[in-house]
Amino acid sequence: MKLKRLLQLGFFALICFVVQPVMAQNKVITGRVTDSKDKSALIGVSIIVKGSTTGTNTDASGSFRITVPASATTLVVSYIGYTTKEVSIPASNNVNVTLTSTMNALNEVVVVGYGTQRVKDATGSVASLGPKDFNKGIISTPDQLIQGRIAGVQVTPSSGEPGGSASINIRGTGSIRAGNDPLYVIDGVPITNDTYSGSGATTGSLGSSSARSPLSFLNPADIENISVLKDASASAIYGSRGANGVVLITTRKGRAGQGIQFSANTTVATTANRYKLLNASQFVQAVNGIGADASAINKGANVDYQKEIFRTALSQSYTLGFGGANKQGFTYRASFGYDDQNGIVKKSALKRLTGRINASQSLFKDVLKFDLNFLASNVKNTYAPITDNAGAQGSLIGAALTLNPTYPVKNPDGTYYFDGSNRNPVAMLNQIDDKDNIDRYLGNFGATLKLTKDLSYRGTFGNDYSTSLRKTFYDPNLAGYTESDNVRGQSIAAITGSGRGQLQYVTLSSQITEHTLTYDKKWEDKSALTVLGGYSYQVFKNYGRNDVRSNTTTPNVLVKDINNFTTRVPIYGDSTKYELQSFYGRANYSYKDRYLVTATVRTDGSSKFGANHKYATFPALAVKWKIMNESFAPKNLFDDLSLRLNYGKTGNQEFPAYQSLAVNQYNFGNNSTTLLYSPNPDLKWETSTQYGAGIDFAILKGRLTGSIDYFNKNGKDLLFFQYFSAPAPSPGQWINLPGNNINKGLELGLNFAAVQGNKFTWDIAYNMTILKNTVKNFAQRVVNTGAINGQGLSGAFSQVIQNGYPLFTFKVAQYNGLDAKGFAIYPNGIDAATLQGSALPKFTAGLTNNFSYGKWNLSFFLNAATGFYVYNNTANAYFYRGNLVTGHNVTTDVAFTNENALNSGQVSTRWLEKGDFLRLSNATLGYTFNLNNSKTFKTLRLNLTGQNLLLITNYSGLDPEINTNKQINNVPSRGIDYTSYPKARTITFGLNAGF
Amino acid sequence: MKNLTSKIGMIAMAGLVFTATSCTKLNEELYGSKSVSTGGAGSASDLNGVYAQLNGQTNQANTYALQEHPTDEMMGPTRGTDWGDFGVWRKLHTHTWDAFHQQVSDTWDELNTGVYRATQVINTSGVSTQNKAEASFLRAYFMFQVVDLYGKAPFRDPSASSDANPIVYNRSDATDFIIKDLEYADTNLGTAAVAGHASKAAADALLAKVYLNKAVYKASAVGGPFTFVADDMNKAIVYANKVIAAGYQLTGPGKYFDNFSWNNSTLSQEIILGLVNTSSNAPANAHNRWRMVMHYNQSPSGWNGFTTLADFYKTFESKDERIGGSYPGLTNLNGLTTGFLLGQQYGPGHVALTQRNGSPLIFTPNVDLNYSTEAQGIRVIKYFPQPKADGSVNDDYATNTYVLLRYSDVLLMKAEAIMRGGTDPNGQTALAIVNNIRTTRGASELTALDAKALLAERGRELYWEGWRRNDQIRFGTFNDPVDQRPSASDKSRTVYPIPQRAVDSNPNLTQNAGY
Repeated sequence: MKLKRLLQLGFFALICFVVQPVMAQNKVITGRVTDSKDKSALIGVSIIVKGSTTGTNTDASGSFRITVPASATTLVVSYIGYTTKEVSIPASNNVNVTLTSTMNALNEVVVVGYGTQRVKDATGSVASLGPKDFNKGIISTPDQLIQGRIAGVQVTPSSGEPGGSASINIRGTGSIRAGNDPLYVIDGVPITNDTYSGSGATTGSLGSSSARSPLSFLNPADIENISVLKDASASAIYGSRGANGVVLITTRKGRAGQGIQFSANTTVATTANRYKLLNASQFVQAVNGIGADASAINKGANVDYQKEIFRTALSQSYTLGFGGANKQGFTYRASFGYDDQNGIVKKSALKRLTGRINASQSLFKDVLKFDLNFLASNVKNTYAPITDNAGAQGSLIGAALTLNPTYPVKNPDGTYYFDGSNRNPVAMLNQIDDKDNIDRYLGNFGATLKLTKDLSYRGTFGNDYSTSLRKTFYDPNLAGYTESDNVRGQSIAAITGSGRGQLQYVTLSSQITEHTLTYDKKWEDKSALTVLGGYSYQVFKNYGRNDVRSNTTTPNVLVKDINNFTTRVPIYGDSTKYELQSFYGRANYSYKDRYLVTATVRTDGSSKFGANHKYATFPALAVKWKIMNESFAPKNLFDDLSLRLNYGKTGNQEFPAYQSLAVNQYNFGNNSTTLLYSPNPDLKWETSTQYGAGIDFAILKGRLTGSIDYFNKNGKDLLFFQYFSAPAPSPGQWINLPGNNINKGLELGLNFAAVQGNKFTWDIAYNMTILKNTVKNFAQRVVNTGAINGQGLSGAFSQVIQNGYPLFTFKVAQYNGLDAKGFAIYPNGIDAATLQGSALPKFTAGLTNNFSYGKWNLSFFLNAATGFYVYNNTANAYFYRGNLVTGHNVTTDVAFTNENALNSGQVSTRWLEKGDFLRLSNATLGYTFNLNNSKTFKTLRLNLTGQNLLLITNYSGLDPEINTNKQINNVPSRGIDYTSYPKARTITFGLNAGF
Repeated sequence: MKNLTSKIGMIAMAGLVFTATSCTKLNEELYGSKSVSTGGAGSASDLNGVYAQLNGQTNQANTYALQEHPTDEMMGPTRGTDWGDFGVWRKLHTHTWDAFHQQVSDTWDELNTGVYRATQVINTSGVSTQNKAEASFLRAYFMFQVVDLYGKAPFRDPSASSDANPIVYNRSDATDFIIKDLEYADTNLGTAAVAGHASKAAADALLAKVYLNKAVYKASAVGGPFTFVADDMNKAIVYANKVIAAGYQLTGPGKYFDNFSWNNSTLSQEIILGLVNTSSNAPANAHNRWRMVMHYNQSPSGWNGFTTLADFYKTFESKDERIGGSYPGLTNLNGLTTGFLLGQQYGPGHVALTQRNGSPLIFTPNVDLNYSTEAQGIRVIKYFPQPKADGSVNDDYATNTYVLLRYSDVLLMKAEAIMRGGTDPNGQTALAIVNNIRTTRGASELTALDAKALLAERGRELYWEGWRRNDQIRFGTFNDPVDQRPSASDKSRTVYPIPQRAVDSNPNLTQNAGY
């Protein structure tokens, strides 16, 4: 073999030497290769003379220069991730080539757990998106990048708050307890979804602020790719954490000639929609109309309290990155990001500073390779006092919606106006100071060693460390906070009059070590085998402590210093530690590139599991048949056709640690200890068994590509906090509930190159999901959730989980309008709740249109969801006519009806509405400058992006795509809208430059 | 050269990282304020935990609501936007609750948790006799409430494995169990009563209560008919006499409301068992008792909730001091009166108060359960806070002792036991006992006493103290129609359903008949 090679080389050298004099007969071709969509320069593109080995690569500006024989007529231009093109050499010897990205096509490489795969070879259902497919505009958390873009992945924001969390459901809702989030793996490090910042409320009466996104520490601009492992055959490699799907986030790496990239964005955000409330004169008229004494409650002012708390917010973000590679095998990329995002509710803001270094060093001709990814991030949130579960008094939004519009904001003496019971929202904004500061470091270091030609070893060590401090201070002059509270059995004075200061420290850390061996063998007949085996150990440690104090020494001002408060609850806190130890293996075998099989198994041991179930094993199997590679393939119709089948088991262990042990908690107030919950040594993971089938196809010469997937996901041993059969040592225990949670669905993804002109192109991407959820074998058990809050609504709830129905089915009283006296008609009785529809959409879809014309490009993205219900808790709590009697503002549509003033706000279908919507959620207009002659710029692009531009819906609230956390006893709710942070409409102007 | 050393360094470092890991045993460790339980400790702190469970009795919801709202002396009307509360109050008053009713569920948990925590203390090896006796009393108190409300009582042995389901005592067996606990407590508790702690007298008073109700708990059909046996009645009299001998006294004429005042712990000689509150720590805060009735614009501001029924109010003679009125140190400063609030209400400085819509705050007798105005319904003030000199009130830490067992109740129980066939060794008659109370309270003497009159007297003496449902069931009037519940309810309503979540989690529990 080697001898032959040497001979070959010698032969060529000789030829070269001999042929040297004939060089005059060659010609020099120059040109430039750009991306067909955004016209950016493509670096490192291979240019080869057809039928020869003569070739070169494009440089940092995408340009190339190549000397070819005079006889050469055609160049082959190829680049990873792009369609290879053959171009004929023109007489001018200058050729400009545009390549079309195959990002959505089947040649793309996708990141799967512990490796990458060509989409063509992927046996499971994996969706992958790059920056081109991401949502644009102001992005505070990476999950917003993919919202609506992937079939089967539903991202529902819980509110419009910067950095707020979203429910991310991959192929339906898997569980009936909190923690339905997928597993996030960032550059190979699985991160914890545990809360990393204080919740704000240490005492019950303040309500708790909504959860934060686990990903807000990442700079979205650093992300190169997000892969979603949707089915069990793909996610089984993550075993007991794979049941909710896995999201793999890969950050940008350095490349030769990458250079410097800079981007700057400025965003203007406004409320997309506000409630139509009565103004002062309408209010007085309405109060008179209901028979109350308007003169007694008219304080003479005319204030729009929505205006007082909402604002037009200006945000900015900057990213600077530079990267490159040298000939010694060193590649690097460093980036810095700064975001200053201001929310549309006054005060609320998120400031993020991130720095990232990704580097790798290849040694000894790629035998040994080191790689390092490191992120340091600082996030500072400023919170407005908005909570999920405020009662009758409301949090900021509730207070603003209901406050009597004739109330002045301030008294003549400059103090805040207060009527004795209703909180003043402007005072809430200014007399509460609530900020946090989160530092997070995420790094991983890996080494790959090629042991033989086919076998390589890789070891990685990852460390994730986050520390945060949330400081909340309440002004003693803040009126209307008169409830004394209770912290671990010790009472603490009401805020009004005594003020309060609290510090919440949260530290999370996790370390992971992994060792893998990969055997990779290819045969000449295109058969291939890849076997992966690995061991992983990950340890998680969480520390939290709280310092709550009252009785300020300065009764007239808000001092933001904990030492200013004299009465303190002893500092209390808890720490948890849990470990996960795993062995895993995967084999991919491809027979003649026709039949592909992937077998996966992972065994997880978790310290969380009960003594009787320390280890769990999750197997999966998937096959793919590439029909196109058969002799009988219908090649005249299809350009590509393959069939996939998969089956697998995955687990979920997202329950708090120590649930298999008996744990006591000490209470200060009465010096007692109480058992928090009862141990369950049989406690184990939740299991999800999934099978599915899919077809991948390409027709019309590859212009139309698509995938159709069917899936059936059966969750059992559902993790559930079981309220005990009392008498009991504790309120309950975690158990694996008998019953099945079944998600069945159909996904369709289509990409269509509608027009492929020289100057004009039009690409369409469409995805849709039909989903059906049913709870089965649940016996007689009925689990209530979906708490409804507000005046006169104590203890109210709206949803049930019950056998034979979808999760989150609403169960409320039937309401049939008002009778002649203005009282509500409840045909089944006021206290008889009946089953209604579910909050889970049956159908979701996303449609992207990309147009490019010359240097311009326009993209807009629509998304829609239908077949679900939303409960308008905001209206139930505040918007019916009786509220006028108590001097509260209402919306214009209810103020002048015949509704009786004594009609109550019973939870009923009156406030249950269809949530169907169509949204123009993203539109971008971009212009790319032609920089052929520029010495400084490599690329320059300007763009204008609008988010949430248009919403078509019959829903009467602000936005049906909402999910205020209204859980009861840890059982999550869906589709309830309660005075949450409203969604913004934004316009972003952005500049991207490359140097 | 420099390059080479750095390369070697990197390799060495990598080697270190990758070899420094080994297999783990996956043990869990705990830090902070949490600790792994090693079983009940029987220490004072655990007994405190059992007492802490009693604080729930002062809540306006749960045990108190279940014992009062279905009766003829209390209701919680929905007032426009207020107090709809998902129908919890309406369902209680109209006897239409079901096994999912929030308070039916929560009360079950609260009481049975008390039973369990007490059992943990009792079963601890080496527990002191005093602690064991106090815990026995507490267990009996909680289980008495369970049996009274739900008709059966689950029991979990703390040493049983965690997957063992609690056994379930039927109503009769549970009653015997309670009596045994109380007898132990009675024998072993000290005679000196410590405020806030169980005493001999408390055990005696509760024993009298259990024997008086034994016919109800042992009846073959729920809701009766009941056969009161002379033996049980005599037992009730014996235990009542033990309480009387312990030196309690009726609070003197004109002083009925001293029993509930902010300093009732010193003014009242009637408190057999009370939950103690101080101005710095009020775990059993009595402020719920006035907040739940007082209008928003009264001082202190209340929640404008519950009322009594007009028919109940009519059972009082006007000279009966228990109907309420001015209270020195309260009314003169703050405007609030005691007892039944009817008509125009006043605030500090005798300012006539208004409703939120500006019209005068005049409480009126008639109430509509579903659609009441702010001012409908007669409010009841038994407990009340201490105003400051300017009439204002800070009731964050109300100092009233919350009364669980009161002396006049014991006297009335004795009278009832005599009326139901028991004999007092001291020769007192039921009528004499009742009239003694009536004259002390400023009411006229009765000439004869029958069941109806005695029930009415119990109502007048003990209204809104959490006994009305128990009394009405024993006297057979519980299912009778009242103003806002026009037709009689089924006898099955004399016990609550077992909460569905308890049935779901314990196969030994069967649902009560009729649910």
